[in-house]
Amino acid sequence: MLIYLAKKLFYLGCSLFAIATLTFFLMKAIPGDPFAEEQAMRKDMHEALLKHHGMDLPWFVQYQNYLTRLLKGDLGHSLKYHGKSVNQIIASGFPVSASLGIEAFMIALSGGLFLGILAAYKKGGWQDHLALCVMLLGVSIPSFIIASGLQYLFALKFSVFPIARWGTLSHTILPALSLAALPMAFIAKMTRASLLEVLNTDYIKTAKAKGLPARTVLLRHALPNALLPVVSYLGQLLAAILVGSFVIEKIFSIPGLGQWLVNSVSNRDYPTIMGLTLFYSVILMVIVFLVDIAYGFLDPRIKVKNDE
Amino acid sequence: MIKQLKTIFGLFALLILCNGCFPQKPQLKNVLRLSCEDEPHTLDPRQARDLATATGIHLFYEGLMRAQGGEKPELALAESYEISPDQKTYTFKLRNSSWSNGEPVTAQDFEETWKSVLNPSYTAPNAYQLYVIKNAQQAKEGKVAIDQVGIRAPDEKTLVVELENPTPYFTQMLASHFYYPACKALRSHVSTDPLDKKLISTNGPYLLDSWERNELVAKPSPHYWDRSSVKLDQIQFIVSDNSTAFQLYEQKELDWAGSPLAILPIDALQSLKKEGVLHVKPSAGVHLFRVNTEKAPFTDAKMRRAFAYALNRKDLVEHVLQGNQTPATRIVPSSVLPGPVGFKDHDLIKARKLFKTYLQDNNMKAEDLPTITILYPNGERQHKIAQVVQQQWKEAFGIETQLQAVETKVFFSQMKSHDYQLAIGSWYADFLDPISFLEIFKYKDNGTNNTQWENSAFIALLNASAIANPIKRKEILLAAENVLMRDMPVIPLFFNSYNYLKRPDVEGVYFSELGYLDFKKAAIK
Repeated sequence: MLIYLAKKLFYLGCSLFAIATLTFFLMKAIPGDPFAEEQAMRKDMHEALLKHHGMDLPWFVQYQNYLTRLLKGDLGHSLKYHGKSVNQIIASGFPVSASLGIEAFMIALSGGLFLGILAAYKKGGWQDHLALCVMLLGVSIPSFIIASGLQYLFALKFSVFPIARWGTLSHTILPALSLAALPMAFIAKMTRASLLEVLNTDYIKTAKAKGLPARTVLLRHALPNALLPVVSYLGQLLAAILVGSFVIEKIFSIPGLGQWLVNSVSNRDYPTIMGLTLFYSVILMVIVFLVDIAYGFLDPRIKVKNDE
Repeated sequence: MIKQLKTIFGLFALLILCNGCFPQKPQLKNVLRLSCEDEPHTLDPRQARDLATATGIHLFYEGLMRAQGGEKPELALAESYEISPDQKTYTFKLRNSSWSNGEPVTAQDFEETWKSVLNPSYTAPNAYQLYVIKNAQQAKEGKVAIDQVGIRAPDEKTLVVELENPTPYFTQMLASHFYYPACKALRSHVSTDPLDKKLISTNGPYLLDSWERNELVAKPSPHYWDRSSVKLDQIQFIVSDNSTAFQLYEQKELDWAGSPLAILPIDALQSLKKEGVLHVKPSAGVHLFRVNTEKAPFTDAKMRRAFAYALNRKDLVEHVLQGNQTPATRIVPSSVLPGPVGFKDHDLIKARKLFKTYLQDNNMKAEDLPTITILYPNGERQHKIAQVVQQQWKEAFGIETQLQAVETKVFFSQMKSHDYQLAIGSWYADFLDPISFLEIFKYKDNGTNNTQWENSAFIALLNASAIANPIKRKEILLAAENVLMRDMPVIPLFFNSYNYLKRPDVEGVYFSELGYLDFKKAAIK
């Protein structure tokens, strides 16, 4: 197990290095200049600024400097927002995005599982049709439409929740629901399909033949096996949802990390782009790593294979 | 499995409870809440480049003068000033005032701030705004020592500024953030973080209270010399998307929405106008086409003028933009430089005649013209303008133009490398004087010119405008603008207006044509 962990950590380090390198060169390849504005700077000032930020140096020196700083844990400072370090940006934006993300994740997971199980349990019944209808809507309607719809209905029409901003629990409900809609539908679809497949296997038939109640067969015997594909999806989902969504954060004026990432690209704020991309990668990899381990616990076959 | 699910939901409930523990802010009475699209980039007055930052600087700092809507700016930290007979030396007497840490604001603070901006080793993007001061440009370029710059503080309360030439708009410039003082910690690089509340002090009517979670909060500064004029208990700047901000205003969660720090949704303007709730403020800003005068067919002024005359600006502003803009047939707004400059809008006869002459001169047919492309930064408004103009030129000359929308930074990069034919852009004055509009086209290598156009007569006229006599100066500037409109390296489109919503009980906010908001005398009725 220890060797397995060490191996995984080594791969994680290599992947991060590859991502850092790739992002650095891709970022430098896109046209545009962080200091270019309508009111263009005088040439001498522009050159002085490039020099000040070390952007006049050859690319390999810039790359080397960047990696050295990275190893020290310094992600640099934003070029646009003076005095703000990328570490500060992450420290202020991530907790907001993450708490909203976890809330959305839990809604998606609980709603998705409930709908999926219900649809499989009552296959062909009205509950199944209703669940399928909800899944179809969730998958096909973009989140910003759902967000605007929820805003109109629950904030403007009935004034149940605040329309936007951040601060109290009620502020989080509408954005979390908007964020959760798509993954919820997806989880429901996966759970339903997977459960139906498992329900046709021999061991379930045996369980039924032994006279176990249908609910017990479904929840105790069928569900754990049916959930395996869902668990692998949950890893990616959690990583994606934790770092925030640009669209939802914009619509609801939420001070999360998603807006920072997208805006930093359009502002060509190089240190912020690099820092947030790396942060996102770390989150993704750590979660995938955790899911790998969780898989071992859920599926004994994988555990045996790893131990070998 | 059921047990595990229960644990997950238990954790979820716990998380929700934790989420509910956000601190609740105490309710204050006189609070002004505004929306802004972007937060200030810095609170160092020497580094301000955008409107949000400039608004923040006007809130937290004060200079020698303060613009309050009159013809001339009001005295602020200057108690009085004298101008020498040759109009080149200004002597200011400073009033007693303090920084937010209680230390007095002195003439040395101004001297050292301005000299720090002009120091060749300091990257100050706005340093050129100080070049009206004697030897300022030479000092910045490292040609003379910094102590030869015409700024002296003989004592704590006296500041003497020598100018290169008589500059009638110098007091206007003093009311801009380019001339505000920065505290000692910023000047001496003890702290480079303008948000460091422990080290950084400010001297304006308000203090930074907090700046987190998309919200900047300002409170009155107890050390401000004119504290009794400051009526608000708090100002909140809330960063939000334009449509969301509009909804927040409708829900009474904002007291001010729209310009200058954000934009109202175009679709909402008509109904707001009908309801009579829309406020309009003319701006000192012109939207225009820059023409690359080194790319055919626009190498010939005839063609540039033909394209300018053919446009129907009235149609554009009334039916497409609908934001109370006024058609522009000159570069300087009449409020800044009154005078008979300009051409007739939608003059198809003249436009077609010039177009035909160009074709005849070059032995061409319209089909032989190179493809004309309009470059513009991605955005709803720009796209609408480009489409309308494309149609108008097609109707006028029967030619097809291509539209090229690019990302903003790519747009500026293409402008800088002159990789365009026609580009949609704008110019907003830095201070209320015609020179702020004309000077950008003075030299070819001026970063904001980008048209590759330079004209010796235009340069000579701008140089000659550095005189004290206001009547003569106005004539010279009008003549210079005429040269610009005759050569047409820029095609004016419209003068912009700021559209905004404001609660009826909000009073005393001074909204400058330059787009700055001044909250010193703001109050909630």
